[in-house]
Amino acid sequence: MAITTTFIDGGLNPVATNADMKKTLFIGIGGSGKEVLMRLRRKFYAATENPYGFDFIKYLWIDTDISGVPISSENWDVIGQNIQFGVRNNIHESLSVSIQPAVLNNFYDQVPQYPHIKHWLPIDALRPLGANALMNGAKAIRPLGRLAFSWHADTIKNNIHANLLDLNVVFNVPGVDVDDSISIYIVGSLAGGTGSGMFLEIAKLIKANWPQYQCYGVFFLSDIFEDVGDNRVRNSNCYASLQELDFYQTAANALDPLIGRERHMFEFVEPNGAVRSFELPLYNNIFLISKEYYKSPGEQDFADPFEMVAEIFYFDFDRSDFGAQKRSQAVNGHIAGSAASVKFVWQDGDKEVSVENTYSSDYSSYGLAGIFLNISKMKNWASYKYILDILKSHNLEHPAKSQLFELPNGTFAVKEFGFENILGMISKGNHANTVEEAYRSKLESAKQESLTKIASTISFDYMNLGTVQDVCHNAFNRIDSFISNQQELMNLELTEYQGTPGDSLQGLKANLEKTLKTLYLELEKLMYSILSRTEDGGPANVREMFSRVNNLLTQMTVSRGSFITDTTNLKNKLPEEQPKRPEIVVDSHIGQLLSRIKECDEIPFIFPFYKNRAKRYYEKKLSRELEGMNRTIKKQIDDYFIEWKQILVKRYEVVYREKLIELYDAAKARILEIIRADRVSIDNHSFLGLSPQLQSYQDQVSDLINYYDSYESDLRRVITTSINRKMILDETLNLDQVYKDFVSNLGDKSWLTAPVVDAYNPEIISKHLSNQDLNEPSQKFVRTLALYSRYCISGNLPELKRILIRNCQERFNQFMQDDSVLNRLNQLLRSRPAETQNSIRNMLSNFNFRLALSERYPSIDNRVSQTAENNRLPGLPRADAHIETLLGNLGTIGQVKYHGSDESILFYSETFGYPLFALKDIQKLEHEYRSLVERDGISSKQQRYTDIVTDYLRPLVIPSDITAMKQLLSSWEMLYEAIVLRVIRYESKEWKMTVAFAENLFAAQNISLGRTLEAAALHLSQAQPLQQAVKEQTYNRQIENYGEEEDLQEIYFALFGNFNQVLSFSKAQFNDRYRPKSPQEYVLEKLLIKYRAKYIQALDTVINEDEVTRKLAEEYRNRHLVRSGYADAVHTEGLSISPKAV
Amino acid sequence: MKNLMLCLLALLVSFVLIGNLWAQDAYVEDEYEPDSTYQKDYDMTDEINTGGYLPNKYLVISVCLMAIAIFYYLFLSLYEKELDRGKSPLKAAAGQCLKFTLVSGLVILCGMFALNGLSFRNIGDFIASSLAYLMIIGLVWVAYLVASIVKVS
Repeated sequence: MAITTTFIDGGLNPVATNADMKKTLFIGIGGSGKEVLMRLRRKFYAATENPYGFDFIKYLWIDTDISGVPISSENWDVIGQNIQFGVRNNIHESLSVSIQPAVLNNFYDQVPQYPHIKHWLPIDALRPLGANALMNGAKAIRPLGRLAFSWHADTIKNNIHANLLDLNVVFNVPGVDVDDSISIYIVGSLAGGTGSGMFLEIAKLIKANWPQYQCYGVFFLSDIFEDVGDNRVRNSNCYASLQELDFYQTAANALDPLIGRERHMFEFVEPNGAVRSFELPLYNNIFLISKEYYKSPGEQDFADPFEMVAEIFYFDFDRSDFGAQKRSQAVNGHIAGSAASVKFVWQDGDKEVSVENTYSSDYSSYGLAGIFLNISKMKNWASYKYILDILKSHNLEHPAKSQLFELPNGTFAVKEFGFENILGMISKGNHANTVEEAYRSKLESAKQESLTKIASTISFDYMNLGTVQDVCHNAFNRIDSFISNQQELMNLELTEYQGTPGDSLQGLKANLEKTLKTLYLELEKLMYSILSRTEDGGPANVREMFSRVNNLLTQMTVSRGSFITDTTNLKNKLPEEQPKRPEIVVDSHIGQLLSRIKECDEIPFIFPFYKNRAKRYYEKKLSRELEGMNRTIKKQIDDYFIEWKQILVKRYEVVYREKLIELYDAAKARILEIIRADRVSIDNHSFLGLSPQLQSYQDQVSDLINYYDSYESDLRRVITTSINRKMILDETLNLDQVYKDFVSNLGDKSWLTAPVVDAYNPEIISKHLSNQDLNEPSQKFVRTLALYSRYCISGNLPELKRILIRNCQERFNQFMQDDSVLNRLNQLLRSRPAETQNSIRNMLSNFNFRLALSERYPSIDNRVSQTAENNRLPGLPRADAHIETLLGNLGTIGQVKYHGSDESILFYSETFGYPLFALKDIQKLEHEYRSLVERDGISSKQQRYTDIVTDYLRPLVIPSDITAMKQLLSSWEMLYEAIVLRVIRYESKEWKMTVAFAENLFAAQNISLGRTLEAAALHLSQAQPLQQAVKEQTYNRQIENYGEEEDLQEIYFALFGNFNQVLSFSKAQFNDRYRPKSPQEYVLEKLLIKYRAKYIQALDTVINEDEVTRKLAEEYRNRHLVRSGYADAVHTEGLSISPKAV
Repeated sequence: MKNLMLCLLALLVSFVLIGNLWAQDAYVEDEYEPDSTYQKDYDMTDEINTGGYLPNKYLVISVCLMAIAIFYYLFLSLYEKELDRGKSPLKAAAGQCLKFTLVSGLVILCGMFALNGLSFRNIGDFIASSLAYLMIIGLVWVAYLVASIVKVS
């Protein structure tokens, strides 16, 4: 007795492959899909700073918990900022397919209204999960994943359509030949709810709408997650997923007309009810990935499978010969439609009997291993670490050090920060004179102008001496009028009238703004000076400085009080009365002179010349006197004016001082605002306060630290974690020491900070009221950190993180001497030949592909080993005869290709053509599924499958030995006989029988055996009491109803008809190539022999068996019509293998 | 100013004296027999001996008139000083003219003395020969003096 497996190669539409790159749409589903896509984008980004790789690569991530916790330890929110899914060409790269509680609640009441959902939804199993079931993830419940897909089917379809439209153009990429066809990769795990719930639906959608495109699946098995909590549900999901997957990958299933029509099994139902059929198999190829390797244990690193798949995807777009070769050998046509046949052989008496079951064998897997140097990763790590170290130094909380914000004499460093200084600045601003002086000057000018005019009227001679009093009175009146006018103007100077401030008030306010601006800039400068001192400054000292400012403002209260007292005193001393007008007196001497002049006329002519001389003399004297008088009057007027002016000035001074205090109070409040407020309004512009700047600085630094820390720790982990599939040649290096040595030679860090400052300073200065006179590059750098997120995020500016890391990476290119993995390997081979060769041999023999397969089936083992070896592709940096020969000697490596990267020797391996029953864990998965269903009941089963009907699914665990197979065959025999004898009937689309069990007090009970014969046979094989009941009923029926010759002939004909049908189906399916004998064929053959014997016995004549057979066959052909009840139900015509619709 | 006036006065006096001396010489050469004294003096003087000019009474008169005119101007100039002292302009003018009258009388006398060869010997002759003129001059002088005195008082 033996079980053997045979492979039957498929012949379905081989996939034409070439070395050109394909336009590709990657669809990641669930958390695992995200992990792979993010890693792929990160690889592209690290290589080219383009997260997409190429324009002809599109990405779509679909998840029910798009903002949930990642399944790996990678903090994508931080380190994936440059590669996050966004909107590309107006197409969303990620779709959230969660369903809000209210919507879901409402939906459950209206399921019949949804034609694309109602036929498969196990509502009874889902409803108890509550309305929140699909709010954050699918809770590892597969039908929820399918429901999420169906609910958002239009959105998903539109998105895929948009992506395909975008791809369906000619791409001209220099150096790359882009194939016209489009490949669609669907990546996810079969363990959770989202990915495993919708991986078939997405494929159906694609196959129904865009059958011309190749659709590939890359799915992770549940063992990947076995270290993360209880894996029973995940294993059960995985089993159910594989069952469903197998169903849709088995092309023959499409031949079942009943399932196809009744349950839309081979149609994609649109939300509007429209249906589109698709052909099987759903996927052109499926890669299954497990934690373990083929014949080799898995990695300790949980996320490595995701990383490996991302690496393999990445090399699909490698321009080197290696990449081209990988693309050309991927996916081979002869696997499509291939099958594995399991043959059970045993001795039945002296005859060897064999029965074969065939299984779809279209599955693939792959793996990537290699010998690596970590130089690039180390450089990268060192770059991140260096930036991280710098940033950490910026975030240190040093002890308080007041010298940082004090002058040597202990006063505050911002010298303007005193009561008098602030008042002085408000008074004076940056003008030469204070506002008060300006007012005085203005008043003086006005006074002078007025005085000039008034004085021009004061010009008395001996002709108009009589008008002196009148003129002077008039002059004083004019002065009074002028003063009165000026008083009114003065009142307006320091007040606001209808929103318009007087000149002085406007000046003071302008000065206040200038003062605040000055203080703001000085404090900001001081803040950045403290922040830039990484050795003793830092945020703590800035806060200390703010506290000092606060104290200083409090201390100013004393000076303010004194100032107010002085002002009050001044106000009290103000003269209330107006100045007294001076008395204007004309000098008597002038009168005497006038009389003398008259006397001159008395001088006789005999005294020639004397008269004129005397007159001239007196007139001259009079003139002088008059001048004196005019001067005196003018002086009196001037004095009067001055007196008035002084009173005005004093009045002004009081109001001015009151206003100063008012503005000082405003200034004080504004200074506090400058420090605390988020937005500070200065000079009609809004600016960021200092505390928010500090906060922004700390946030930015923390954000950067998180970012670089994630990268640094991730890279360190990658460098230091030992991965079985990667043989690292430089893992013994003391990273920290190498880093320390290198950094000690770096010197000043301005090479890192200066480009950052250069990139953002103009933008910051243009948008922010900021010091342009920050001289220290380190101060500018910290200012950039503080203001970057406020002013530099938008626009076309490059990203800060990118500038930092790019500059650092450029510098760190000197970090380690460039070396080649080939050189290093050669060195190792010289120094430690045996050990090194052993390691390489070990790796080559172990790492064929990443899927754990059972070793129970030697032919499968041979086949996958052979295909893996045939599809193994080694990639060397460049030609190296010695290494190539060595690798060839140590294992089968295939044709060597070169990829040009000095740091790796790659081994890509791909296998194909194994059936799912060959999976190593398939029995464990099935067992866990069964135990879960036994424990939790039918609802648990329904939560594992994406369809409420599962009868059409074949078990993935094949009979483990001949006994088990015989048991199954016995069930088939029992089933066929019971059907033919009408013990089991096809009713309401199900196989049923009526049984009266003792435990139910022999009450008749209708038992459903399933919708398909295979399900019924399986059901029977697993239910011992049922078998007993069938046996009894069959026996009784045979004795009671079918004992006559004609009856036996009818039974024989029914069995014969079925046999013919099974035979024709089998012949058609295997198409005259290798045709296995199926259990049905075997069982029907056996039943035919049994009933032929019964028939002969009923004939009561001795007749040759062969003769009876010929006779019955002739009779069967003559009748053309099979009348048995079973004949109505099954195998009536064509290739149908399931009951005809009733 | 005061010094200037004193200088002018000294200059004027010198001028009158020198002018009259010169007039005296001319007179001796042309009109009179030189006496022994004069001759003795003449002999003793080189300039007189070598000069060939004739003495002229008109010259003396001219010098005297010039001196009188200058004195008038001088006193007129000093008039404002008198006014400064607060005097009435009329009285001050009269006072100045009185002073001028007295000074001009003295000049006239000097002129007469000069015309007599700076000698009183012929004074009688001279008066006799020029009495009419002298009387007119004297009358005018006295009238002016009186008028001045009247106004001064």
